[in-house]
Amino acid sequence: MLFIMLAGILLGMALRGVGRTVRLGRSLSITVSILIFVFGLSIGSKPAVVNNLGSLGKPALLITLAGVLGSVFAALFYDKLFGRKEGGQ
Amino acid sequence: MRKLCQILLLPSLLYAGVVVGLLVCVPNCVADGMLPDFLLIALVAQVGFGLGNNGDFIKQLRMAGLRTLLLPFFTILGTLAVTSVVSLFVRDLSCCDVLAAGSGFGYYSLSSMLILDFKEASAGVDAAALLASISLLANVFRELIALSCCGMFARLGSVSATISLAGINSMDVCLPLIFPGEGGKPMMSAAIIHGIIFEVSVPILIYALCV
Repeated sequence: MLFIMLAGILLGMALRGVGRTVRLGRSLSITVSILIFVFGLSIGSKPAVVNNLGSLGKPALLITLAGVLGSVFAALFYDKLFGRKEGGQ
Repeated sequence: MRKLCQILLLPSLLYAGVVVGLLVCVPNCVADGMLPDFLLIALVAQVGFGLGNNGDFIKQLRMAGLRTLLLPFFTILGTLAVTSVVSLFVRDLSCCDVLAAGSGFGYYSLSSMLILDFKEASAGVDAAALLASISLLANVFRELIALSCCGMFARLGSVSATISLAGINSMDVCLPLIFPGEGGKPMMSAAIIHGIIFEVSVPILIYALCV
């Protein structure tokens, strides 16, 4: 996936160099929307996920929530140490 | 109202997909991941193109310093710290097992396969399969939470926290959710570097915790 991104970056830079700015906003939004829907489809149709939900769902969810909380709190601490940067819009 | 609809659109599509996947017989190319992989490649290529086409990203990359490289390590340490506490409440699994399951950071396909592989030698096939299944679920849940909440978090609060929440997905599927719109934005390089470091560290962490 990293190589794909690098290839995209290089192509974008090459076209910028010849004075062409290509707008991909709409195409990107459509791709994201379809990808997320299809990802949901693939999760809902995975027997390994659906069949194990009942028996293993609780410990898995506990582990997930721990990870999410730990990540977010650590990042908030990181912001406190280094100062918060805005993402920008 | 319009902003609320924008925030809710992607999570709605996600859960609509899950429900349809549960109820309807889905073609193999979807179920086995070929179509999602193809779409992810298309997404990453477009994101990369947009970044390269906009001069700001290259400047950001040049300016990325120690601060940028430290964010993934904060994510890892925070995750492991809270997960180790929670491991006390998970029955039948050791602390290392729980940490291994939590060390996928959303990379559900690779993490479960690695656990199955590494754990089999030390604990046997059944224990390895059990832990791999828990890891698969835990990391699927993490990706679902990231996809549902990244857009909202990014608008409401800290971009660093949103990047950490996204885990390994900060460099691909979550990147357009954290930074909507075209072009380079501040912290975009941090999100991509965050994902790259996880590509390397997830296998290392899981190996260290399973063996």
